[in-house]
Amino acid sequence: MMPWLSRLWRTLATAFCFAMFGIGGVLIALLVSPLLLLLVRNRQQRQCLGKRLVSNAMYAFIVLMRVTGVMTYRVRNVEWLQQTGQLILANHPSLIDTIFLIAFARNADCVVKGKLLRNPFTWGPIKLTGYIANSTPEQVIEAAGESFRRGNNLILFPEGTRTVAGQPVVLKRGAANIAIKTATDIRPVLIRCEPAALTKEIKWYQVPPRKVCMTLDVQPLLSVSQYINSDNPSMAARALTCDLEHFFNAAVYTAPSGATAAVQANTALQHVK
Amino acid sequence: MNREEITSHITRVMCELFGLQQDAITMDARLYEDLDIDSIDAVDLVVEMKRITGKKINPEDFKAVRTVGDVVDAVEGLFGH
Repeated sequence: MMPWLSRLWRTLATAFCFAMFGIGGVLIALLVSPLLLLLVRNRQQRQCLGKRLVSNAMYAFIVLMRVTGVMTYRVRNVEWLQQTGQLILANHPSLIDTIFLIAFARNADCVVKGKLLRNPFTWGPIKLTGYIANSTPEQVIEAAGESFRRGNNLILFPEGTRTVAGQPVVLKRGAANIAIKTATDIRPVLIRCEPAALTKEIKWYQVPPRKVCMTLDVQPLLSVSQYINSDNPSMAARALTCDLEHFFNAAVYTAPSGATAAVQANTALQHVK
Repeated sequence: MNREEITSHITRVMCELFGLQQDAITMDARLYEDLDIDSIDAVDLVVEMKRITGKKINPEDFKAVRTVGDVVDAVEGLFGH
């Protein structure tokens, strides 16, 4: 296909996909949520079902983007996302990272910002799934602990915002605090989006010259036991944040595949499996 | 406890808890911006201050705290100065 024609097609297809995403969100709010509210009276059961439903809807959206030629994708070690009770930490190059993680992780839970609760296209699914609202840190940590106890996987982007391409990864301490205070091991996921698309700077209609290729590289579990046993939790959270920062920086920027560098860079952190 | 004692306690606790250099802890130093102390750290700090002063501390009293000087003021307030 001629380059300009390919680009035009992908712009139209992207618009179509996002429109479908919005319609899906509204349908969940108007039809699915009320139906489940009537049929499943137990809130935990309903939220669990809601999580599975939203996960499948996200997967359907990914398939839609693939068949319309907006992007291709590859997920390595996807089976590790099927384990339960893990803190899934990923770098965040693009807007659609969350969609991939929710689609492929079992019982995916996430922390959502207040803005998405006021967005008509997203509040339905968020209410249905019982995703954790980003309130005070203490409340988020407590809700995260509760989520792990129910066997959910909590997805978190430890940078707190999208990764800026070419800049080193800088992490907030929230993810380390959650891991330490809830004694939960970390499942890192390295995400690559090539060419860069749907970053903070690039709008959805600025479609890249080539079809986007998303790669999710699920990494071995990182044990937090050496940080939990520290008698100074503040310093432990700083140490874990620092080690995670090294881990992500080495993995994201040096290796073509991400996998080998991640393992080599991981001197302080200990792999479990 | 007088103001100097309170200040030296707070300085020591901050160095121990957060791995800070003593000379970074000035009265004007802002907790979040200058010293990288976030709200989770602040909870740990309050717990530690409770232990040292033996006073009951209402975390609400520390909500408005921005600088090291504010922390000293808040603790001093507990002693009714």
